[in-house]
Amino acid sequence: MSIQPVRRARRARLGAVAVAATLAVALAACGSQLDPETVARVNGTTSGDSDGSVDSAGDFDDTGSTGDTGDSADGGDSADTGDSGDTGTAASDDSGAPSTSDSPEKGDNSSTGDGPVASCGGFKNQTGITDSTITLANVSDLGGPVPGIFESAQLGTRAYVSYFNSQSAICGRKLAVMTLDSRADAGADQKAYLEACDKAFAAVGSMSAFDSGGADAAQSCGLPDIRSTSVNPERQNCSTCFATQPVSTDKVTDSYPKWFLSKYKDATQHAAVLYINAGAAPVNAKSIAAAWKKVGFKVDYEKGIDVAEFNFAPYVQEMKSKGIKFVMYQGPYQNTVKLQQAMKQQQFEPDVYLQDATIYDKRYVEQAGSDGEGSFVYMSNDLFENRNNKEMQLYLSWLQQVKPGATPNMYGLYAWSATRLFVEKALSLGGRLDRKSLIDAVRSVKDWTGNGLHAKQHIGPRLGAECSKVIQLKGGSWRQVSGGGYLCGSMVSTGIGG
Amino acid sequence: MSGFIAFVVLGIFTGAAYAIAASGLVLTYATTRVFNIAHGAFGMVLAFTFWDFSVRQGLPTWLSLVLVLGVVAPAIGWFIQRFVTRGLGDAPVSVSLVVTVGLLVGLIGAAQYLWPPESRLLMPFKPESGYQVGATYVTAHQLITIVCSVLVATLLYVLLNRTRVGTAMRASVDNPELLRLFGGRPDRAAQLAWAIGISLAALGGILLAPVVGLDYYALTLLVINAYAAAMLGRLKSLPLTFAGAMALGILESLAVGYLPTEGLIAGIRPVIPALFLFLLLVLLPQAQLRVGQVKGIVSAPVPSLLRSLVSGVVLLVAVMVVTTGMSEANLLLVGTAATFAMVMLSLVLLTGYGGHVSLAQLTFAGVGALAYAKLAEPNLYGLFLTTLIAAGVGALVALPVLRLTGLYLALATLAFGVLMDKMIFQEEWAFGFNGTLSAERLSVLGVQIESTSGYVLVMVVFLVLMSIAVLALRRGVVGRLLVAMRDSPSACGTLGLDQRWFRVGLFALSAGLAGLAGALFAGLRGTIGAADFQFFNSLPLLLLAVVFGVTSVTGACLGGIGLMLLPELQANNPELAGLLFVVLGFGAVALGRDPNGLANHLFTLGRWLRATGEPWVRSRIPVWAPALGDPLRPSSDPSAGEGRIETSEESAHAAS
Repeated sequence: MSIQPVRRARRARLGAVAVAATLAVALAACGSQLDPETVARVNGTTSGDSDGSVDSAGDFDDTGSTGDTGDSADGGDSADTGDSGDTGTAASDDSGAPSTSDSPEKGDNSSTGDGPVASCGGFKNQTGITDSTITLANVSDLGGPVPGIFESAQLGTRAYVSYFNSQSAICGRKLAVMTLDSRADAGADQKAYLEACDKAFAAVGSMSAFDSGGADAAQSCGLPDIRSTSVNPERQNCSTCFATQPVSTDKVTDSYPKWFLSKYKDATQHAAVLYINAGAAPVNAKSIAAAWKKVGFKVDYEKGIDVAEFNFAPYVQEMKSKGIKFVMYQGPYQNTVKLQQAMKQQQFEPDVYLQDATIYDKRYVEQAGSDGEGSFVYMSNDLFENRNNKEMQLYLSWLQQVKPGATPNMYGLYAWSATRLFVEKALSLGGRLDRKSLIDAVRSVKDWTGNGLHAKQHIGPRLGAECSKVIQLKGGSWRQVSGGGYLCGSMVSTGIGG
Repeated sequence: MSGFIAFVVLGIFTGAAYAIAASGLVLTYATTRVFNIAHGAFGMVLAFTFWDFSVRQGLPTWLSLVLVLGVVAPAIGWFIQRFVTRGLGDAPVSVSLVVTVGLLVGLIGAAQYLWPPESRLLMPFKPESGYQVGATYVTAHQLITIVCSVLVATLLYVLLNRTRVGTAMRASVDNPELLRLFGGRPDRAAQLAWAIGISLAALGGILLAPVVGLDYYALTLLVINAYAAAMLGRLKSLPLTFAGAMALGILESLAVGYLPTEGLIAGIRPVIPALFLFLLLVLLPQAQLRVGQVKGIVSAPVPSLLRSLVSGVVLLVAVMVVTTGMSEANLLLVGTAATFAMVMLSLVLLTGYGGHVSLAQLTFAGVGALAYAKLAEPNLYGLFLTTLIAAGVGALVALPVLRLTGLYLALATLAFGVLMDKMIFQEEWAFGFNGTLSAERLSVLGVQIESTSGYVLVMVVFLVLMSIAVLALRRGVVGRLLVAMRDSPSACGTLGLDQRWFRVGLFALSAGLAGLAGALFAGLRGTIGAADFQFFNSLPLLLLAVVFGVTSVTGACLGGIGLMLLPELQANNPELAGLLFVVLGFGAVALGRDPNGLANHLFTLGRWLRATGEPWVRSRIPVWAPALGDPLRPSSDPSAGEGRIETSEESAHAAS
């Protein structure tokens, strides 16, 4: 009889000790809210940035594709660069972003550009336009399995709108951005576009990995949709949808492949094209491989790598055994880091490692470290580091204005460009501005550079740029290695994905 | 030949990672009969904890390891066993699976909330060292993983088979009462098992995170690949589990080297673990029936035909009223809720009445949507064909696993879900890679329903008709058979009932209903793709069905609305997104033991209101009180209502 209370008491004590221990440890964990920068400084490592919010590692397993946009063509990009969050501008530049007070009031870099401005006579209020405001919708992937993946596009649009509102108005109306989240889900994209149809005048700077969902909705209600990039065929074929980085999967520029043929001929005869088996990456990678073959490459190895793959060594082993000297990968930068680590471990050093502007991202540079040294990137936009590019400096400064610490990237750049396109066309229409006239005006745009932000993109015909440049990572910073401004060539038709 | 060896060596690392994960799984199952689907999620959370200690707070690595593996992980294991999974081994499999799936979702939410999304890096151990092995190269980190997996497997084997504690652990699951009589402490044994199991999950997470990345989903779902390894050991033999894990890892590596790059076979590479799992399940010897226990549960009351008809009409009218003047965007949401409600209704049939857990119900909806889009017959005939096709697929899935019950059946549906997601749906003749198909809106009797509001109403009509059909089934002979087979398969076997073909029929019917829902959804959306039916989303579907009540139509409808609202709420409050998952997951853990869910509480409330309110109303309005009375009173026919089934535990409690 007396044993029971003793046992119970002992058990209670043990339980209390366990709880106390757990609490102690938990409190230790949660209580230490040291700033990572402080910790890093104390530990003697340079951190460089305070971690921003958002953007975890790119892929995950069965939650489906990691919004890979993988466009082929030029500014070709496989997504997952998500972004936002980190301080500072790209790779090397820590000396602070340019100030918004340098923004010009006149000329082609002003928020209104220097194009024609029509009279406001006959200007009518309509869906999304009131006496004081013109509402622009921006539908981008913010939530979903990879949080914040395309927040940069929304920030790019908001940045331009802030710039514009600080200087001007369209027929007495300021611009307002209706931010919508497509959550990397076609259904959410569809719902967002239905909302935009009801409440906004136009959609500007949108970016979603599953942009097929809302394409029909946009076309049915005649909503002008000037996107950052179009990903899926439904969006590419939507008659009211355009993009400042248009994509036709079956058309690939030969500008940068020819450059590599001239500089790294031997390597191009033993090329490998790898891609993540998600999103649009496979079809784009296959189209690129086909185009390269037509231009004179020899692609000895084409392989898709599963989203959940974490052991890249077998793929490296295969490339070694085939004598590969030129490697291209389409996928998120986190996987690029893993692939390059595996390559280093297996002592496989190809002459060329090439990827699109997905890895033109400060976080790739940090994570890859020395493994990324010598990587090449092809892209159709200018470098963020180019201080002589006035429009680029405006984008960078106003981006910091709307979200201090945000990282600039390609999607944000094209979203800024899309918003500028909208503003200039709206001003040129003046009192005639309505959805239909805007669509006609944008359709007539053949060459658009966003005031020098990027190579000529053919907005109306929905064709990507034939021009690109090649940059290389050396000593932790990116440098242009191809000559002149841009390398220009022609589009190669591959018949894949068209 | 050297190439072959190189691939084998490289595959051993993958195998070692699987072995560590699978060993922990087998330990907790073998000692407490709970299959911890959240094993990977624990590993993920503890990997984040390790990052927090060693990187964010800057503690030395050895100290962080000791704290995580020696203090935090065992403490969590003890806590989970004491407060969450105690007694779950004796509960019906549907309950234990739902609780662990709830843990999985809750842990993902907790990780997202505690460590909001940002770029985090965990360095591998000894990143600069490595060793040349033939034509290939093994890093120090990979070697450490391999050594750890061998150590873990050996030590566990010794623990379970050569020590008193281990013997007590194995005894506590077979017969805890007998163990107590011999002076053993089954609860202690179970707590120790869970403490070690979670520590192993932590070890696996810490070793994998530098390679996989600190990603909420990747680490969690990687463990699913380890289930196949655990199956080879039949969830009790550690040496076989280790062998299975190694075999799987090497197979995956060889597949990279030797499978063709194009064609159907090329698509097999990512689904090798799922195929492995499915094949093992099919070839496993039949699990023994547990005799002598009636696992009954008190079910939600089943309404009479008149009551269901009236409720259906009321629902339809309510939806008509609510959707008048609604924007297209919100109508889309209502239609989505109706779709989810219909899929959950199929779960009511399968899980609520039949007691079988399906971890891939959305996949059947995907099959229906695919068939509807491909057939291009947007009319009632097309819908009928679609339902038949989805039912056929359901039967096909159930056929190879005729002999399986409970846990193994659920795992078979999981393997099926992964196979469809990664291989079949991606084929050119299906949705195509990342592709979408267009689907037209339904036309009924020659009249096409173009408007979204009209289409949504048609969907609700289908929901009502399906509900009435399911309830009618429940009230009849088939329903009684279902409940009997759920409660005591051995008794049914004794009575001569052939349960296997019945189960195939049940699966087929449930899949058909889900397929019908998918087809209607395809018409609503206009374009439909594989991404709309991702396998992972079947997990919150199951959880919400159970939370709201998987034994009643009301539960299914409420669950459908809840599942529709979940991503909307998460998108509107991104800071609270993780918290919502936590509420859902741990809510399911709390409510999972009662599959009648919140709906049953609503019914109880309704009955109480009627009991207190009706006399008050009668005394004040005697004129129309009689009309209020009889037609709506629950039928006194015992076959229509659900009597109380006393479980063996309840009678035991009553007796003691």
